[in-house]
Parts: sequence; C-alpha cells; structure tokens
Amino acid sequence: MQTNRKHHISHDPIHDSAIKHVQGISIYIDDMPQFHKELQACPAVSPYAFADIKNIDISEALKAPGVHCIITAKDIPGENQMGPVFHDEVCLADKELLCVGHTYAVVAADTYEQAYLATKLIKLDAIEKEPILTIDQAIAADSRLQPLRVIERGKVDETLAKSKHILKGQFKSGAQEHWYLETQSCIAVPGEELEMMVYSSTQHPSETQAIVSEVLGIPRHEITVETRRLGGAFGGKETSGNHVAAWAAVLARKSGRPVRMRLTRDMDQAITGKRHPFQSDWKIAFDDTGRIEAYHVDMHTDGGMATDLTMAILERGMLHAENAYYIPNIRINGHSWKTNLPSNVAFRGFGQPQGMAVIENAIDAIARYLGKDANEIRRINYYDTKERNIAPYGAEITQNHLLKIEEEILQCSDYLNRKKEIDDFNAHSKFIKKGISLVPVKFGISFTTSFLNQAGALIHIYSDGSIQVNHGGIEMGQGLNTKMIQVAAAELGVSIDRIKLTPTNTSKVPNTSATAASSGSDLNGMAIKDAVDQLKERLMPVAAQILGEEFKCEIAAENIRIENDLVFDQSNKKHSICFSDLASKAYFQQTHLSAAGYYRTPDIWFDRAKGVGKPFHYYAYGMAVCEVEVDTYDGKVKLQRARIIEDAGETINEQIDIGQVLGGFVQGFGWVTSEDIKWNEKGRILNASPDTYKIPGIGDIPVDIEVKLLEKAPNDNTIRRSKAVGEPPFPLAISAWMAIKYAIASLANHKLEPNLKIPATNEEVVLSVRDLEERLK
Amino acid sequence: MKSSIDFLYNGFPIHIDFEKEGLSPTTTLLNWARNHGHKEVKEGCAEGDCGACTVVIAKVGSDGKLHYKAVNSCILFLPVLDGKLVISSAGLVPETHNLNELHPVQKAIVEDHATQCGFCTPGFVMSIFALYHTKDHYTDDKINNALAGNLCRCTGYDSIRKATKAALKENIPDFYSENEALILKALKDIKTNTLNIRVGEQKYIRPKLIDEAIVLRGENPDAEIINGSTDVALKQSKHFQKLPVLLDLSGVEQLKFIEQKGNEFHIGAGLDLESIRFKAETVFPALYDILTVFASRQIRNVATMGGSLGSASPIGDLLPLIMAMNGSLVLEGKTGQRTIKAIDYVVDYRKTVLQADEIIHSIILPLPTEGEIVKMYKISKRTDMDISTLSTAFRLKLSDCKIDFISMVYGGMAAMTIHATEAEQFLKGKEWNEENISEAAAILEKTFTPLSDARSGDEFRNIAAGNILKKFYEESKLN
Repeated sequence: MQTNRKHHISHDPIHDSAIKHVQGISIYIDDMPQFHKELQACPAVSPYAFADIKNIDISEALKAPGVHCIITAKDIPGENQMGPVFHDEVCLADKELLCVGHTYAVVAADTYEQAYLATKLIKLDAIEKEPILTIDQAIAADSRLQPLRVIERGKVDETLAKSKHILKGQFKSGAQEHWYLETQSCIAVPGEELEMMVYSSTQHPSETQAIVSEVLGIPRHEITVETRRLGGAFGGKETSGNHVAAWAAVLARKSGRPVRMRLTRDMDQAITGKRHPFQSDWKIAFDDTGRIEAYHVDMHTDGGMATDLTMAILERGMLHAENAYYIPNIRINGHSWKTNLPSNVAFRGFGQPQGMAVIENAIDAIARYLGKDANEIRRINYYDTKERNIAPYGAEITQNHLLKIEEEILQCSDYLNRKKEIDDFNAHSKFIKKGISLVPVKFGISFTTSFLNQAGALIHIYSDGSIQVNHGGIEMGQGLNTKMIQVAAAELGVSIDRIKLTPTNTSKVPNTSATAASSGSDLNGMAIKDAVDQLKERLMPVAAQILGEEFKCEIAAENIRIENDLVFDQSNKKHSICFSDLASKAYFQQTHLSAAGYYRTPDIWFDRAKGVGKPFHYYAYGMAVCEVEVDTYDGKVKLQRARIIEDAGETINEQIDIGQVLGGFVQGFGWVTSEDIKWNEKGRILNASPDTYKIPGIGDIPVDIEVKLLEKAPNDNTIRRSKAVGEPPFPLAISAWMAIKYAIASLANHKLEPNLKIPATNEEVVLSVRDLEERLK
Repeated sequence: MKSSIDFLYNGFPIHIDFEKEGLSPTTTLLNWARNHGHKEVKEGCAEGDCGACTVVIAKVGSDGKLHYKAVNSCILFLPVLDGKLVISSAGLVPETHNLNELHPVQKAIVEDHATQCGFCTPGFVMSIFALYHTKDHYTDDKINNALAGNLCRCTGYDSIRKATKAALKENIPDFYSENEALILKALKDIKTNTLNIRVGEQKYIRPKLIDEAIVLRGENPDAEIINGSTDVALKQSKHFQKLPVLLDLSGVEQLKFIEQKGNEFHIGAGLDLESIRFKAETVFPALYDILTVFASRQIRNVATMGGSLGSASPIGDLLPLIMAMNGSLVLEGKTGQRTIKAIDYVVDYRKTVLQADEIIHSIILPLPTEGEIVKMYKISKRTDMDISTLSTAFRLKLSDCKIDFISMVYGGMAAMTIHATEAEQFLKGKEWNEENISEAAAILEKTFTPLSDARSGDEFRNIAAGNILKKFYEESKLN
C-alpha cells in the first residue's frame, strides 16, 4: 500500500506509548520490579479430561526447595467460584476435574522454576471418567450447557417446504488461540488488614476485582485492581485474566506475601479457553435469481467445561446469522454444549464471525448452484434502506452503507476484471489455482447485555494546567488511550501534550465494563466528554471573570472559548489568557477542578426470551476482496492481494483505525487458514505452543494490501461521530477463505460444491481437493 | 581454561563468574537480562518461535569488523556470550521521550504506526537493527525472510514492513557504527579461552580448539553436545530439566568453514546455517531454498548443520537433501576421522552411529552435476518459521526423457528420514511422463505409515507424499 508518511504523521497523533514501545521501556505486569518477599506461582493442572478427585497430596511438594505456600480449594476463604455470569466454574477443582488443564492447586515459591518443579511433586489421586470432547459427542449425550435460544421471524418451515430451490449443509469453524504476546499475568500484593492490591493483565478490572472479592470473601472496597496496559488481549483477557488474579490473591492472602503469577506460553495455551468452535446445520430456500426466501440454521457451539461468556457469544453469532442480508423467513436456533475442554471464551468478533461464516458459505453455494457470480447473489439480498431493512430480531438496520461500499470496493479491487483473469489463469494452470471473493460484514455495536453499556471517567486539572485523564477502559494496543487523550484534548480545547493518561484503576473509576465488544472508545470517550463538559461549565464563569478583570470589561461566560490552549472571549479574541493561567487562577478562586464523567448508551434493549429488541446502538459495515493462490497438490495458500473498505464513521485517528482494520483482518486470516487446534482422544491439546500453532507471519501478508476507511460517513450520536473498529474487520478475512474455496471449486469447473471448513489449512485444502476429485469420478 | 565470561551489554562491561555467583551456566540470556533489570527483553514463548526476546549479538569478524546478528535470547546460554557485545532495544540510544532522538529503526516504527501493544516491538526493532547494520539491498521478500522469526498479533505486519523499508533507506551512522573502533578494542581486550564451568552438579565445557574438543569429548562421554543450542536449550527454557554435562562446540572456530572442493561442499559442523545459506545462493539453489524456510533468521544465525544432524530428528530439513545427494558425514574421535554415508548415519528414531567419543566434524555435500535436477520441498502449515509436516528431496537425471536415476528422500513420514525405495525402483528406466508419475504417486501414497500428530493427520501426509512428486514433475517440465 502506498501511503505518504509525512502526510499521516502530521495529522494523527502517534500511539501514546509508541516511543516507549520501541525502546522496550513500556511496563507490562511482569516488568514491574520485584516486591519485598515476593513469591512466584505456578498452577498444578489436571492431566485428565474428566475425573473424580479422590485426594490431593501436597506434602512432598511443600518440602521442595523454595516452596512457601500451596493452595487447594480448601484454602479459598470465600466462595470457590470464578464464573463471570453463571457461577458454574470453580476457582480450584475440588470434586471433579473437568478438562485437561483444569487447575486444582497452585504453588508459590521463591522462583518460578521452584514452583514449577514442586507442582510435579503433588500427588493427584483421581478416577478417570469418559470425557465428552466434540460437539457431536455432546449432542449424542445431550450435554447441554444452557437451554436453547431462538430468534425467529416469518414462516420458515412453510417456505422451505414450498420453495423451488433448497440447499443444505453443515458448516464447521474451529477453535482459535488468542496468542496475545504477553501471557496472563498478575501480581497480588497484600496490604493492611484485608486490603489487596492486584496488578492484573485483565481487560476487565472491575470483574477481576469482583472475582477476587468473592474468592477472598471480602467486600470489593478492600480490593484495588490496576492495569496500565496489556501486551495484546483480543478477548482472551476478558475473563481468563480473572483466574490468574484469583489464584495469586488467594496465595497472597494465605502466605501474607506478594505473589507474582505469569503463565508460561505453553501453560497459557494449554489451560485457557479459545474461540468457540461452531458447527452449524443450515437450510436455505431461494428463487431463480438467488434471492433468499427462507433460512434455517441450528448453531451448535462448544462452550467447553463451563458457561463463561458462551451465551453472549452464541447470542452474537445468532444476531449476525443473516449478516448483511434481508431474509424474510428465518429461524436461528442456538445450542450451547458442555464438553471436557477448557471453557471457551471471548475472542475478537465474539461469535459474529462464526455466525456470519455460515450464511456467507451458503450464499457461495447458491451462486455455484445457479451458476452465477456470488456477488450478484449478495447484491440482490443486501439489506435495503427503506424496506427490507428490519433485522430478524425486529431492529431497523440503520446507516446502511452496503451499496456505497460495494460500489467503491468493486472499483478499487477491479473485481470483475480480476475475476476474469483468474478464470483464464485457472483454465490453463494444472495445479496452481487462484480464487477471488468479495465478502461484506455488518457488525452490530454494543454489548448485547444492555446494562453493560455504561462507562466512567475521571479528569483532574492541576493548578499548573496539566491534566490527568483516567477512564474505565483498558489499553491493550488498540490505541484506546491515544484516542481518549485526543477526545479529552479536543473537547476541552487544549493540546494533547497537556494530558497524561493514567493506568486504569478500580479506585479511580468503579463498576466498569470490560473493554470489549469494540466499545472502548464509544463508551469511555463519551464519559470523558461528560467530565470535560462539567469542568468547562465550572471554568467558563471563572474565565469570564478573570478576563473581565484583566481587560477591564464585561465578558459573558457563554462567550468564552478554549482552543489550542488559549482561553478567550470569542467576541474579542485579544482578550485571552493561556489555559495554565486559567487553571492556576481558578484554583485560587476555589474552583473544583476534578470531574467524574459518566455515560450510558441510550435506547438499547434486548428481550432474550422472545429474541427481539434493539440490541445495537448502530452497525459498522465493511467489505473485503481477497485474491489467493492455492497449490492444490500441497495445500499451500498464498494471499496475493486484498482490498478492504471499513466504515469507521468519522475516524478519530485514521492510522490507529487502519492498524485495527489490518490487524483484525490478519488475525481473521489466521483463523480461516493456518490456525488449527487439535486435541487427542484423551482431550489433551496438541497445539499448545507456537512450534505447532501457527499464527500468520509477515511472509503471509502480501505487500499488495490496501485498507481504506469509508469517507463521509459520520456516525450519529457517538463520540466525535466515530465508529467502533476493533472487531468488525476480523470477519472480513472470510473473503480469503471464500477465495480459497473458489480456487478449489475451479478444479470441478465450479460445478461441484467443495467441502471445506474453517480453517482451510494445507491439510484441509488437500483433503477437500481429494474429496472433490473423488466426486468428479 | 576459565570459568567466567566477559561481554558487553549495550556497551557496558559484564563479568559473570558462574561458580562464584552460583549461577547455572545454562541460564538463558533472556532470564539473566530480565533478572538484571533489562526488562526490554521480553519472553513470548521461551522456545525461539516468536522473536519477542530478540537481541543482536555483535562480534569481531575475521575481517576485523563488527558483525551483527539477531538471535533469540530465550534459548541462548550465557557462556556463548564470552567476548561478544549484546545489544537490546534499550541500548540503541539513551532513554528518550523525544521522537527525533530515537534510532532510525525505532523512529520509523513509531512514524509508521507499526507498534500497537508493543510487546513484540523490542524484538522487531532488533531484527531490523541487524538488517540496518548489514549493508545489503533489501527486497520485500528479503525483509519478510529476515522478520519471519518475529511474530506480531496486533498490526498485521504491513506497517512493520513499511517501517523497515523506511529505516533501511536511512543511512545515518548510529552509536554503534560511530563507536566501532572503541567497541572493537573493548571486545578484543576480552581474553576468551576454553570455558570449563562447574556449578553444583552441572558442568559446562566450551572448548576453543578442535583437539581440545576431542579430548573433552573423550573425557565426557555422557555430555550432551550443543552447537547453537536452539533445540537442547528448550529442555531448560521450557521444562527446567537438569542438563548435567554440556559440551558446547560453538566456540571452535575450526568447525566454522564452508569450502567448495571440486563438485562438493565441505561444510564445517559448526558453521551457522545462515552463512551456509548465503554461500549456497548461487551454487546450490535447492540448498538455498530449504535453508530459506528453515526456522528463522535468528535461529539460523546460531544453529548449525552439526546440531541439526546431531539431533537426528526425523523431521529435520537438511538430512533429506544430504541423503538425496548421497552426501557424507565426517566424524572425528580420539582415533581420528572417519567418513560415513549420510544414508548410514541414522539407524533408528533419533539414534545415530556416532560413538561416545565422537563429534560431527563436517558434512560433505555433493553439488548437482550437469543435467541433474535437484529440488527440495517442505510442506508445513505456515511457509516460514515452521517445522515440516513432511519434506522431500528429489534428485533426478534424465536421458532422452527416460529416468536415468531418481532419488526421493522423505522426512516426516517415518521414525527416520528414508528413501522412497519402491517408487524409486518403479521409476528407474521409465519415461518421465504423467502416466508413470501418477503411478509412482499412487505407490508413494501407500509407501509410508506416518503418524497423525499436531501438524497433520496421516491421510494428508500420505496424499501429500504422492502429490509432491507430481509437483516436482510439473515443475521439472518448466526447467
């Protein structure tokens, strides 16, 4: 992609930690200096997928060198649980071991190595039971995690029965490991009496505080959780961070010493949850043109051993089952299954990509069946702006930019010409086949659990005019803090250099929601604006008075403006003082220079029982066109070209948003291609380290990749008319997967529908090709 | 002999007396650095797969100049640093909050928005810093190759690649080039010698000369031999295993050579793979190609052919090619040298004919002769920085479209690297055409009984074993 470096440097502030990052002086949890008498901890985890615990003997381990403290369930002073929504996940296994990696004890020693070696001395006596390891096994055993959820509209069965064309199939997408670079980390430091200071790599400090409070059996006001930044999270630290924090806190309480716990990569990959695998059975009815008449889908998701956020993830999958298409008759059944694998957790997209992939694959099948270009089918099914614009759950699809984006991306990707060139290439190439695909994304923004859509901020103006901003969100690389500094500076009218953003801390802003659901900027930005508005309201009369006295005239408070660090009377700009002077003088005039801001998203609701509501504040749209080259002999896939257009509203920081789009897309590209997790028949994960688990590397990403943000698309009623941009780009990578499928289908001249699942690894591609060849015979 | 080491860390002299400090000699550079407050070196995986721990090691080259290499500090044992300079991201410039005071590499990353969460960034900075100090013309492919050992989960890499290009365009001397003479002097002043370190039960020996190495090998038949330690170090970094006796050959300069003698490469067992790759680029494309996708730049900078063959892994990427070329290994023990055919070297799963008093001295690798087509294919889930699911080396000689000779050697399909004898015999003397290739591919699909493991199922391995021949056939037609 060609960009003018000088151009964007001058416009967008750089990431507020970038200069520290490149020197390596940014502080992550495990970079904090050692506390006095600090211990380091290592979990002892189950080797069995499913077993009854008879006895846990820690006597030998306690004698091991350096060991100071070992906890098992009976050492938990409060409640032995750490399920964030449903209380169905114990903090330490006491009766049953529910998966390989289920933690039943934690050892604290002088060094991590000592703690690790001591875990090997714990004698676990357990009786193995037959585990459930796949969705099919769970269905057969009726191992439901939570009751069925349904969203339904129209006459699905009738339409399916009488429709001229019907296709059906089963679609699978696999688990994905977050692979944040910084593994789960926490330092718990006991304070006076019951106090506990918890430095945690969590996306959700308030919940970490709540869980620590519950396991310690003390009120939340005793516990402070602080998080400066995360070395990546992607949903993997929304609830999983709580586990490490809870264990460290219990150890710290029992030993009376600070306890540091950082999971090693292998341990992290083995014991923490993944993206939910989905297995969906679908049926779709359509007319001769390809317009969809009815769609029925049973989504089955593997929740793992506990509920965690599975129901919200499944719900988001269901709420995006139709993706960008109006489907008059639709039924979405959401099944959640309990298996003996670590409880699956949030991961960028939060079920949306899994839900959306099914309909995109079905549309691709329709196109192949009708012998049409898939994009034609997509276009006649897109949500309209005036009619055909109501989602299956009854909400209106607003700010619909689908056709506008489509027009632009067809042009910038040169889709039709490139497709023709690809077809020509395929006609003459024996085993290297190319593919191309356009895939749209419509992504609903808001927590679907409506009450979570609230946030707080705290702003202090010091009497020297410097400003401290704090909010409830977490900086995990996405540039949230940079944007929040920009918001505070723009709303107040001061330069960004004046503002210092401080670590997220539950004693500064309480009762926060997770930094998740792409909501970080939307919610915290508005809360910051609220705080700034309060401060301005207090400062303006003071400024009017000060300016009036200084320039010996009457100045009305409503005429005061603050811009570029200058406070002035807009009717006579010569009457001005600098912001620092205002702060100082306001202080001496006894002005309250601190404000707590608050925001809640208006007008959203969702009735789960009925499957209706307005769960989203707005929608973000995007499209991608990907071109791939597939070696049908060895299954190697090369992404050759990608064009992406993302609707980010009026962007607050274009370069940060583009970074989010590209990063999300590439993470999605990993999900649909190389990131494969296998478990053996005993339920042990086989891909628990980066030598066998392959996220994309730099060589997998072509130079010929371009991201554009949709222009002239201001959002309504959001902070500085921006849009969320964290998750929506992730599922754009489904276009790369669809292009792989196109390349494979070319082997059968697009007459047969390839069987292909997500991820399309080299293995999956070669097996899909073999299957197609057998069917051709 | 000595039991302490001296090196420079970001220019500052460091002296470590292992015995006095009670410090295990198998302490990794990463753990030592972090325990000494150098928190800019990050642990992402502790196995050399992610590059977050990347630092640059500079040493005095044979040309008397400083040579910079990016390495994974998480799997590098401290004794290797004796007489060298370690540079980390915190040592490029004095700590600053001013963009303009940053090193050109750091500045480019900031300006191109090529850092998000920042955890991988110090490692990327150092891989790019190493490039900055190797005056070469860098294409996109070469940048990709140099950064294949650095994983980033946030940016999607595009911005990092742009920043790299921008940085490499700059030609501003930095602290290290400006002070090269001083650094060279400081490094030359360090008296390196054979290391013989004993801490508690642990013994770590690092000879300087081959003769010493042979004697020490004889005296320590139980020693685990390392030469780069990119494999063995994982026992320490990930599993905290005790490594009681280690014989580290990485200090033996006499084992670091590559010579072309007639139609053969003679490659010292101690030469790093990146140097071999560099040498092979014009002379032996198949070797160059496989080394290009062999692990990462950081690994190749320290890993050696001796180490790769010493581990006798059935998924090693070099043995198939050496066997297909009918290469040999020169083994040296107290009674002198003996040469053994590569095909006879491995006898069972990770078992070789190497005697307890022997080390691998060198590898004799015949080069392709006129008219021979030699190719090696590696099938892995990810192209770069991945271990083979299977790999195959082909050597083919045709005369009048008939197969004069074909050698097909497979890795990853059995407990050891093996010839596909049945298919080789089937093809010999036959016409090099699609029909025969299809038949041979069908034979290959049934030749092996591979495992199903984390990398793939056996079905894929079998199909791919046949397909890879078809691919070779198609590509040979283009030659």
